[in-house]
Amino acid sequence: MSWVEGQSLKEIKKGPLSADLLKLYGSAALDPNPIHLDPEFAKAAGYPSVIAHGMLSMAFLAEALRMNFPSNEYNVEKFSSRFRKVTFPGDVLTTKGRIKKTEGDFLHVSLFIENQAGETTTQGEALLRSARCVTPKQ
Amino acid sequence: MEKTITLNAITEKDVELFRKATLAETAGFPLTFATRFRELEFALLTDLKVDIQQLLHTDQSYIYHAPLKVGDVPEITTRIKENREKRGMQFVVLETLVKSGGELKVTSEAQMVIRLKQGESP
Repeated sequence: MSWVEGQSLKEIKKGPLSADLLKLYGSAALDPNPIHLDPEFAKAAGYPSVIAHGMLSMAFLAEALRMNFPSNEYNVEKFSSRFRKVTFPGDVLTTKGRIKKTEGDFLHVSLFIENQAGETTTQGEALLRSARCVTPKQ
Repeated sequence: MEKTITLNAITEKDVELFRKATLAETAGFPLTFATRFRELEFALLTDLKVDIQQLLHTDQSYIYHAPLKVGDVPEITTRIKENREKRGMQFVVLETLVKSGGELKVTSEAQMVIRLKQGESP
């Protein structure tokens, strides 16, 4: 597929997130922070309930990247996220994005996640390279 | 401050569990799988006596040098790249290099923000 600057990416929706999913993610990602698992700990930190891992949101952005840019077509060279707003169990997240810039075999991609209230919770940037011309990096 | 550790080989089961926990439907090795290698980040934050209740992971970046895959034995080196205070907040940047068989696979950078209590300094 040929991409052009400004082109929107296919969206994906995840959720509603559950506390059980956060437990599973904590186990899979080896993240021991109780703020994602223990409601009393989270309340003591000033939150109404446990909060989702920022890295789970980044994983959803990664899924959005792979859905739009399959690994046999594009290598991801760089990928970054900024976690702007906390996500809670029950939230529904939608990934969105666009092509920021095309540069030869490279694509610069902007991504973000909106929650069900239309608030941006996570922003992301990625640099991709066409897999036709290089050995895979990831 | 820097720490190094060698972990167990990445297994198919590790990857499948990670894919399940991230609701992944697409093919390919998970792009954020290196988040499993943050053990030394937590150790360094403990050394800094960071109050984990006041800790926020605000930014994360990865540079992919070579593909991680099942069977790789991750050699992890994590260092504190930055540690500064500004307006009652402590900003810590942790850099992690993931190698396998001596080959650099991924560079990870995590920024943490810690809300300091009044009169507390990092």
